[in-house]
Parts: sequence; structure tokens; C-alpha cells
Amino acid sequence: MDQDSPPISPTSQPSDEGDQIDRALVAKIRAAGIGSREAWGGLLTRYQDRLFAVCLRMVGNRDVAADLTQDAFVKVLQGLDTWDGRSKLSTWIIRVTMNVCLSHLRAAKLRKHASLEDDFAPSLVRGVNGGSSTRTRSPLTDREPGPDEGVQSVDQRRRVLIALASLDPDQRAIIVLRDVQGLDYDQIAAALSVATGTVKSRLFRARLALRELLEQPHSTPPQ
Amino acid sequence: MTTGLPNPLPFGITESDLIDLVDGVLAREREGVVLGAIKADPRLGQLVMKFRSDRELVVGLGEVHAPHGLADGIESRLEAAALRGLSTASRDIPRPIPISQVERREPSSLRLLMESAWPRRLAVAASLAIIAGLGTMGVLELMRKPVAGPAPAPIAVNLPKPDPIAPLAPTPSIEIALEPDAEPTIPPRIIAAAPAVEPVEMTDARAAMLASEGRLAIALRTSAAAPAIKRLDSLTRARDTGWRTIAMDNVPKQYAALLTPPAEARPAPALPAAPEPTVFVSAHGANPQVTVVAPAPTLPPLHPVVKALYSVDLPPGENSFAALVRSIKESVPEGVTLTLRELPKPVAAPIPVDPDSVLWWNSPVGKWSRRASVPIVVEGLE
Repeated sequence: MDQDSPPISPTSQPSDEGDQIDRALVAKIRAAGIGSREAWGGLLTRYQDRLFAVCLRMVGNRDVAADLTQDAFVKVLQGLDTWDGRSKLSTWIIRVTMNVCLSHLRAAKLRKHASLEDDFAPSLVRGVNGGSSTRTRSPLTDREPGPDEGVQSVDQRRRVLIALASLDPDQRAIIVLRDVQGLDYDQIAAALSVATGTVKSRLFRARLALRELLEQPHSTPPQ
Repeated sequence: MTTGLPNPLPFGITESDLIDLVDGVLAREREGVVLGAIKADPRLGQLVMKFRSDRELVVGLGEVHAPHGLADGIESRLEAAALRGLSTASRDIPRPIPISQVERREPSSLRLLMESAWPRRLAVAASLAIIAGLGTMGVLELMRKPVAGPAPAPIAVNLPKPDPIAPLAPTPSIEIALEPDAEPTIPPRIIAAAPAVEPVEMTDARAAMLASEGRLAIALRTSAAAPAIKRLDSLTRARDTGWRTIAMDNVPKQYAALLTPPAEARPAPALPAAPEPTVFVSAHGANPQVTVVAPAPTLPPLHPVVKALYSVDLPPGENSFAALVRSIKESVPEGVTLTLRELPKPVAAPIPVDPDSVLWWNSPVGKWSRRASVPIVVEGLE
């Protein structure tokens, strides 16, 4: 796998230099074909964390998120010829990934049935036991809790995850793109194929819905 | 709603303004209006603060890292997709995969020409015209009479070669010994010679007529039949000659009459002393004819034995018959005597069961006419 191109942070935005790296990677894939793992390996290394983060925050399950990440990257490779270069590659890739996630959620109606147990329960265990548990770490909390993080912090994370999972997928998508991925309004508009004003309006309503969910006294995962 | 959000928002304030304020990107020209509204309604300020807090919570969920093995899964999915083709291309791709991957081939000009109606009609008309023309030519070929040429010379066959010591040329006449007061008697040797081969003079026209009636046979008589049979067998193996071999062990009854050929007198060898000649008087004609016949010692007559039997199919007509005789003469070796025999009863040749005979319409048009069958007998003298 090509390790020359540095991976980008899930929340960082590719700079102009990063955009040039993306274009070089795309040219390499187009030259060698998507059948060459060496060709697309660099692109995967660069974007896999970011795509996985989007999927994980959208579906709340690590295994499903990994599966959707693979699906999304395959679709990116298959549709790479349709990327005309006018928009940033990162925006286009996230758009494909978000569409994959939304399609999955709508098809399986995971919004009603998604369980957050896999996400927050290990965190709770780690938080209580100080990380001594042998259970697998939660993908949502890869960051080890610091020594100053107590039960209150874990409880807040749990509440946020539950509230996030309870949001409508479209509202969750805009929260993820804005707060998790750090996209600006124009990039969100491009990723969701809506106008910038619509992005702000939806973001306002999504924040409002999230606030209402967080203010509920005993948030429970959606059934 | 528990957020305390004034509904509707104060005049002049939009959702976009509040979102920009939460994210800290509010334009300066909007700051005055928005801050004024917040001072007027503290609930707006509290909402903005809560939004900022929630954002920090979401951002604080932490970074995640992709699990190992994504590349393997992607590679296997690519292989599966390659096997399935692009039929499962996702609708999640913003724009459809271009169909330029499908190679388009322009049809040939001939195909374009044939796809239109008029060239097809012209082609059908031309085909029908060709078929009609060929049919007409075939019918005319069948109806065409043989071209009348010079009368062919009569075939004088079955005549023994002149032999100085042989009796005079035998005639069909009855020869009577010239003795006074004696009853005309038939000498025994003449009687013995009577069943010998009779001279036949037959024109091609008559032979062809007899052949068409099935009353003609061709006899090939020789003392050495094997070479002749060998050459005639080669004609039967040739294609489209009309020659067929009739198995001697299973001769059809129609050919039974051919299996008993007439006897032939053995040519006399040279004698040590010339015997006294004998005078005969011919009773033919108005005037008796005196014939002096040198006496020759007669030997027992040769007995021809049928060695092989063939059947030849040929178109009726003098030309074809003459061609048959000519081909036989060219094929058989020297010393073979060819005799045309007029059969008392027609011989109905059995219809051969072979593809050419059964599927006669598959043969060329020139072969659609009725065929005359001529049996050919190879007789060996023993």
C-alpha cells in the first residue's frame, strides 16, 4: 500500500497542498486502473479514518461502519471517472460516503433499531474501571479517557451518542458533517446537494432537535 | 418546545444569523441587529450558548481510526464487482457512471442498405428472376432435340476377323450342296455354325431406339475377360457416369436372359494340308449363287460364359448412345468384340436405391429426364 501520502485527520480540511496530493493519487488510479491495489492504496490510507468516522457517527456500530466504509470506497473508485475536479476530492468522497450511509439507514431503518450499546457500553466500562477491561474499545471513544475524566464525562458522552443516534438521519448527517468532519457550509451544501442557506436552516433545526434530546432527563437509545 | 426559543424569531433575526453566531462567523453588518435582539430577548442568548455547548460535546466525542483490513475487504468487493459487471453501480454515486465504456460499433453499409425495404425487395426480385431463368433454361435444355448430324456409319460388330483359312463369311442364307438329284441339305458344320454370333448391322438411331425401349444389350466378348472387367469396374467407380455393377451372385431376374449367351465358333488353327473344297449353292435371290467353301476342320464351339454384368443409364438419343459405345471402345483392351444385341423383350432395369436416384431433384436439371438403361455383358470364351 502506498504510504507516501499522509493520512488526513477526520476533522482536518485538505489544504491546497493536500488537494494536489489528491489529484496526483487520482491520476495514479486512473492510469493503473482500480484493479491495482497499489494505486488506490494511497487514497485509502489518506481517507480511511475520515470515512470511517463519518460512517461510525452515522450508524453507531463499528462493524457496520467498517462495512459501509468499504462500500463507500468501492463506489468512490468505481465512480472516480465522474469526478470532474471542480470540487475538492475530499468533499466528493464524503458526499459518496454520506449517501451510502443514508441509503443504508433508510433501507434498514436502522434509525429506529440502532443500538448504541456497542458504542457507549465499553466506554462506560473503561470509564468505571479505569480502562482495565479486556473488552474491545468502543470505536466512538478511541480516545482513552484522561485521568481527569470521571463518570460525569462518560455520562455526557453517552447522552450525546444517544441523542445523536435519535436524530433523524438527515439531521444527524448535517451535524456529523459540520461538527465531526468540520466542513464549512459550502462544502456541506456540496456534499448534500443543497443550497448553502438550506444548510444553515437545516443545521439550526438539527441543533435544536439535538438540544431537545439532550435536555430530556433520561435519554435512552431509540427503539 | 423546551429550548425556550421564541417562536417566531424576533423580527429581523433568522436561523442563519443564529447559526453564524454559534459558529462565530456572523458578519459584522449583522452583529448589531443580532446582538440587539439577544439583549431584547435573553432566551436567544441562552440558546446560542447551549448550541455552542452541544457542538463542543459532539466535537469532543473524539477521533476514531479505521480498523485494519479495510483494504482487503475493498479489494474483494472490487473483484466481486468486476465479476458482476457494472450492473450494480450504485445510485449513491453523484453522477452515473458514463456509458462510454460501452464500445459502440457502427453497422456496416451493406447492413444499413439491407435494412431498408427497397433493396430487400430488389434482392428478392432478382433472386426470383434468376430462379425463373435457370428453370427456363433447364426446360429448354430438356426440350431441345438432338442436332441432326451426318448419318453415322453402321456399326459392324461381332464380325470375326478375316481368316484365310476360315470359312467364307457366313451369311444368313442357307447354303445348299450342289449335287444332282439331291435334296438340299444343310451341312452339319453349317448347322453347327448356325448358333454362332450373327452379324448385326445396327445404326445408332436404331440402337438408341432399342435402348430407350429397354431392348438393347451390349455384349463384350473376349478370351481374356479380366482386363476388360478391371477397366469397366473403373468406370463404375467414377462419378456421374451412370455405370453400375450388377452382382453376379444376385443377378436380378430381368437380366436372366443375358446369362445364356450364344455360342461362338472357335477359329480353326492352321491345318497341315488343305482339304478338298466344298461347293455350295445359295438359294438366295433369283439366281442361285455358287459358293466355294474351303473345308476347314471344325473344332468344338467355344462356350461364352458371362463374367460380369453392368448396367448403364444414359439419356435417350443417338448422341449419348454413340458416346457410350465410344467410351466402351476406348476403355476395353484390344481383342474385345463389342456386339449390340436386340433383346426379344424389354428389360426393366431395377431402379437403384441410392441418393442420386431417390433425390433426383437434387441433381442438375440436365439429369431430370428419363434415362435409358442398357445392360452390358462381359462374356469370356472358354
